[in-house]
Amino acid sequence: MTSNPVLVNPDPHLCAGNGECHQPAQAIPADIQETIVLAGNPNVGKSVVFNALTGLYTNVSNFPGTTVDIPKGMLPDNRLLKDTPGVYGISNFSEEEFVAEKAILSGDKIINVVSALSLERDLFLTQQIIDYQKPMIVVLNQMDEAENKGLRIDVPLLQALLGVPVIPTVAVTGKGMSDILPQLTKAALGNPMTDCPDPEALRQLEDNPGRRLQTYGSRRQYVNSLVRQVVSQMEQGQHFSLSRLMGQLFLNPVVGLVSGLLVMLILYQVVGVWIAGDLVALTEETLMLGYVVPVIQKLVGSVIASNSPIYTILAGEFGVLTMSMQYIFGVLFPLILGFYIYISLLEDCGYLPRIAVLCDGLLNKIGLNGRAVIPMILGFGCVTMATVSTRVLTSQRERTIASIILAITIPCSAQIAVIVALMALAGGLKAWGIFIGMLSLIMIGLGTVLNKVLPGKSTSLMLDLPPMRMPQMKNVLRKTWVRTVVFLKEAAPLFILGSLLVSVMQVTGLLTLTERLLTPITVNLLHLPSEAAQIFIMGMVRRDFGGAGLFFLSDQLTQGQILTALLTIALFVPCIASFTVICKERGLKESALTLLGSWAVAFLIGGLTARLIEWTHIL
Amino acid sequence: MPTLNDLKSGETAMIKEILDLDAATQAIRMGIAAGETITCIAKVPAGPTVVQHGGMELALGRDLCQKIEVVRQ
Repeated sequence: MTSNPVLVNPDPHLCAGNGECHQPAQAIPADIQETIVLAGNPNVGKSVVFNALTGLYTNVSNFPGTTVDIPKGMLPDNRLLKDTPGVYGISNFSEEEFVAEKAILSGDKIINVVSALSLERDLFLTQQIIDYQKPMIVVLNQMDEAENKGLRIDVPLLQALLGVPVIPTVAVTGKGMSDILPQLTKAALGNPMTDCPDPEALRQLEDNPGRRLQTYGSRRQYVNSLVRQVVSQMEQGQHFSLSRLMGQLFLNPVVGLVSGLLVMLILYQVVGVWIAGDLVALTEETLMLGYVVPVIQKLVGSVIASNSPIYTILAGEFGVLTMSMQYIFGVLFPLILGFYIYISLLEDCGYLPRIAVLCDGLLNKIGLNGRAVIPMILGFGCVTMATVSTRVLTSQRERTIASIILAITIPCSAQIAVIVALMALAGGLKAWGIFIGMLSLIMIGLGTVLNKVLPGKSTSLMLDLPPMRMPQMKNVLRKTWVRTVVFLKEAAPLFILGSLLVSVMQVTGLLTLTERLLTPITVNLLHLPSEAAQIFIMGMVRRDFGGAGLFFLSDQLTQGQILTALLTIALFVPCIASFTVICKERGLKESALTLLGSWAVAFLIGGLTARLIEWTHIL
Repeated sequence: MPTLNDLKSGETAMIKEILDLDAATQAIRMGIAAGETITCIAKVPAGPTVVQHGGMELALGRDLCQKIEVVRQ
């Protein structure tokens, strides 16, 4: 029996679905006494409750649709706690809802988290769980925010009407959280809505898309009558609310555009100039090349002769020990850390969903809706997790379009970090203009074609906007740290594999041969030096190694060549990890087409850009 | 009959009918259904309409708004 929480799955983003994670997961004990499922609408504080109960980290973001896999943790007495994606009901409108439905219906007991701010919306799911006769308790969260808005909730009455324990809480401050587990023993079946069929019959009715609207309608009326009895507005008239004002402001297209540009400029300054320039100069040159690499070379040299092939493989130019240390800790670590802090801040303040609304009209033209901004932005973090998160999209058609666009046109954070750093060398703003312009053109072209070719019609946007909130630093930092550590754990072995591959090829002469074989592409098509072949070989192992390799070569290249190489790598094949996930999520045929398509597009556009830059002398 | 697309920011209206079964089924779970009163709080040009109802803000795509008939209040 264990009373300590067991780490099972700390970051749903990095899991490839089907329970397989990059993160080594600890085993769940075999003698589970009870499975408890945490359920609730998006953005009601479910993940904070999960953390408080298990003492663990899950991704808490102020954006519906970011928990795509099911994080699990242990509670005292061998009870398993499962978190679920936020849903508005037990239905199956998206993959995400399907996952939640399965978990809720198979749980022994349900902890339903509802927001005191939006009981009318939230109690639909609560009542539905009661109607399915699952033993449950209700956690009434965000009580402080409701009080601030002048909402009064009669908790004892709500408890009596529902027939299940109701625990008022303020999850972010921890208030009421210690009452949850003790109350769990009192979990009850509750009072079904008026004229509710038995759970079996209800399931049959609500599984039928043509008939469920009727029972949904009765439940809606029942829930509305509950809310009328329980909730009262104390003071009339709206208070001034900064959150509200900001929320409105960011829905303005002009503000959206200006803020978007500002967000990118700050990213460029912080990640591109300060971190990639000043900090990396310190970590890579002073720390790694000045101290660590010479020490490694000396150590290896004291055991193996410095002119032997083994020495070259271990500590040479592409050495497994030297280059890995230099890239992973000298270059990638500071860049990734900076990028993840930034994305986490944007995620947590409620800015992203508003951007989704503003982008909806544009995304409609490429067969997607605003919701696709979620995987797209996550794609800038990691294409692997973004591909999994396409599950928040409602139709298979949208998932296909989004996965292909992600794999081809969205560079991942590790890559972006390197791109941002190299852009300063490639000619600053002008280079950025060409880079972003090209990627956008390809995205639009690709999306338009897919939208025309694929059968069916994409669905319209229906997105619930969470309030704008001040991001909680503790949460942002914890999330950043976990993501960075998981990234390094995933990246390091592949990086070592990559440098092993390249240095073995160097020692055996295969590298020169490959460089020569790829000459038609590198030299003739892309107008790059033949050594650029290294970049592409490494890029296949992981996208960002290609970028990192380019960093290495950059002093031998002109600005135009750096830009061409950057663009080609950005469009180039997704890394091994993301390709595996694409295979799993989208099937072999679609993945093979994506892979071949990305090669064709990458080299074609690379060649075009090289010529464009030469002819116009733009840089 | 005016639709959600015809509402301006600040206008309040009652939903008459949602002419799309899937959308109606999804929306009723969140409290948006025929007979409910909503307030339009933002309108993106050639884009979605954002409505407020029961402490919730919901953005609805343009195509969908075309299928939601309303009566201004």
